[in-house]
Amino acid sequence: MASNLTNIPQSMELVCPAGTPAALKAAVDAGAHSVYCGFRNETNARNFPGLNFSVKELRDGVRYAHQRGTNVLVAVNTFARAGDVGIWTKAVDDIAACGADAIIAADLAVLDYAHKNHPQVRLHLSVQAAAATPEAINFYAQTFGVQRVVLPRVMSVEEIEKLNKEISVETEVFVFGGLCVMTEGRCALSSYATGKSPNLTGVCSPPGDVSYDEEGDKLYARLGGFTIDGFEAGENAGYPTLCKGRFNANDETSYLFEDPVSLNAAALLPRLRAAGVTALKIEGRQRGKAYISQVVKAFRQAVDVLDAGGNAEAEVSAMLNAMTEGGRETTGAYKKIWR
Amino acid sequence: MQKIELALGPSFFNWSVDYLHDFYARIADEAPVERVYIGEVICGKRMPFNDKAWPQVIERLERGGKQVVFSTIALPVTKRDRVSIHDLCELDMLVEVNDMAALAQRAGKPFAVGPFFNVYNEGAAQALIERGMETLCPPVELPLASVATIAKACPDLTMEMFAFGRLPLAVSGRCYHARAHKLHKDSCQFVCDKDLDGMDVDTLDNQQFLAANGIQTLSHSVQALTLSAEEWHAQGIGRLRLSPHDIDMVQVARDYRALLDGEIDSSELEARLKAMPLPGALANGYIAGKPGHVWAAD
Amino acid sequence: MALKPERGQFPPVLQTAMRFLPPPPLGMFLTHAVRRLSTQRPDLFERLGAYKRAQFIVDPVDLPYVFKLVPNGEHAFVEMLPKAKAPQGDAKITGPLIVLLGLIDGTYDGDAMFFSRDLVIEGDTDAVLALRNTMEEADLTPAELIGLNGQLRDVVDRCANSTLANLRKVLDAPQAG
Repeated sequence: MASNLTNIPQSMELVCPAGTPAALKAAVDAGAHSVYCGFRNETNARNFPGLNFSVKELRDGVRYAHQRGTNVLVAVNTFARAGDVGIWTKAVDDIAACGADAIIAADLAVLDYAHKNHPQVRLHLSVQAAAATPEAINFYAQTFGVQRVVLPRVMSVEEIEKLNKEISVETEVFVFGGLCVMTEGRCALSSYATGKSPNLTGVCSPPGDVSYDEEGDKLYARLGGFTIDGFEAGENAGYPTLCKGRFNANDETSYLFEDPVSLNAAALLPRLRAAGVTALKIEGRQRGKAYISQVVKAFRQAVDVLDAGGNAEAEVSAMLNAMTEGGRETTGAYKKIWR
Repeated sequence: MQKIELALGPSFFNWSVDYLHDFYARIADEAPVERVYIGEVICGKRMPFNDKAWPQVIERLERGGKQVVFSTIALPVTKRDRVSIHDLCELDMLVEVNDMAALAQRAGKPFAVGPFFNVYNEGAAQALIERGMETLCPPVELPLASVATIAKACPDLTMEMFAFGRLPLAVSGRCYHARAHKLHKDSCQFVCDKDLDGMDVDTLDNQQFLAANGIQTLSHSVQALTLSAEEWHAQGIGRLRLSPHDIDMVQVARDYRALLDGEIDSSELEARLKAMPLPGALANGYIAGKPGHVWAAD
Repeated sequence: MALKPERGQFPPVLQTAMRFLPPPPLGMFLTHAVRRLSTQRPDLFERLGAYKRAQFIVDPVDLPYVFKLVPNGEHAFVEMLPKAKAPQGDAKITGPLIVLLGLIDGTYDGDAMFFSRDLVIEGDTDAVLALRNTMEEADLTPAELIGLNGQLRDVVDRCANSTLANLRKVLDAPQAG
């Protein structure tokens, strides 16, 4: 059985994104209990140009984090390409060699390899595996020794609470940042439009397939040639993430799948703790270090206030308001009305 | 050369019990398919209705000489969803697993794995074969080259390609039919029964793009893989899956059979399909590793 | 995508005046700066990957020149060209000079500037993204860019930062993110 994370606080563990070594340092310095990151190749689900870590950068990052009592969790959470599984198993070997604290994986081949070859390293089930039932989660725990599951962003707090009573492993939930509307790891919308998707290539709605076209006084944001949204002159343009677009259906134009909002579950922290959640995850490996630093500080303060018996809602919303800059937020599926 | 079989996949849509009875009666009597997948794979809320149809449908299909496979729900969430999986996995008949919860309960007995289950490589396939997988219909976005690689590494596994129908692209916790009708999932009034092939979703400039079916998002286009039996055989493919639509599926099966038997060629099959009232244009980009909406020959 | 008009640009009088001044020899100076960086921070150029051979055109809208950058490590070069002779390049970044400078030292977030239309990206967006993420990792200060270190570096940085901050105010540039 793999070891426990060394720095798990009594309360909830704050798991923070790092797209670059600079962001890792920013997250550690801002008070992250754990940082997650990935290698600079297709083995992780944020495979964007110029992002992520080399093996050496991971080794240095682990050292920096460990010196300050922070854990490093490494995502190898795409699905290995048939015939090239070796790229993924090498990533697993490298993580173990770097002394990182956990591997985050979704693919059966990767889980199986990590379990058989590196049983001393903790194994976390990536959100890309979309495991939401006790049957599925217990199966992963029994078969591969998975010690934590990152829950898909489709569950309500009530469901999470019930689930925690029926499983033996830790749960980690997303609390801030980008919001997948579709069940993670089960979405091929991006590859339908562009040929590239989270599962195949570690990207969603990739920038190389985006175009902004001015037509008359309107600006259209397109992905793979499909119009995802349109903006009036002077209106802030949005990124054409496929599931956050405006479409025509049932004789109406609307954000059919989801409005262009981001997740903010800060107000739900007390309830998530009561529901038995172990760790809180912040999305955003593609974000800059200034952003990371601010968000991590805000959530760390919230968790600390919560530990002290207070209710951190007011403090956190004040701190996070600056981050969203008028962008809209949602508590997502955590409140059942979302569905 | 072994014969390439045909299978009818599970229907994704909210069809009435009467519609299901009529649809499967014709399939049982007339469609040249060896295997038929049945069951509700999209929404547990539909189960209390269509559950009533299945015993008779199974009996009818078996009488017609078809192998019947019961498919499990793709995204189990509620207690009811989970109970349905548990009950199906206990059945003596072959079961198609569409989620890890079903695998957990079916492991040890033979099962098929459907396109909602993430199998992208030979390592994952091997792990499932060890637990009883006999057929794999891989995720629709997987290129044919990858499917062939898996097939080669797993010679005893039957590889089944999603050869016809709107592509199942995504599932969600949220119901888009309810949302489009300004309802919530919990009080959805079953509005998804209005769209027998799914609800068209077009872009702002009215380009046909996607289709919504409850919590599921499909392609607007209709996948049509039209390789010959020899070509499929060379890639290690043993069966083609035709996904049900509100069109003459018996005719679709006959046309595919004709292609596989060498009676017609690919272009003739494509012409026949295009002559039918399909819900969208033909597409086949995924098998070539291209965007799923394109016709790879373009 | 069109730029939001006027925000953060030099006043028209100054823009006109600059057209008549001889171009300062910035290209050679910047070439040396980037090449020096490649020996100090080879990781940055590894991070750029294949995009280090891309041709980036940086177009400050309020200057009569554009910069052509190929950040190819020790073979890197930067050229300053009159606007009329600007090549197409693989990717082009257009914006007021003050915003472009703010991107280098991290004052501005590239994403935010793009969505508020203070910045326009054309061509290979993957190349621009690689450059943006690399700049994010690089964490360059003005003094570092011109190759200073030690005490002088701190003095120059402080001086440059306050000058730029004042300039942002005077030019009504977007608020720093």
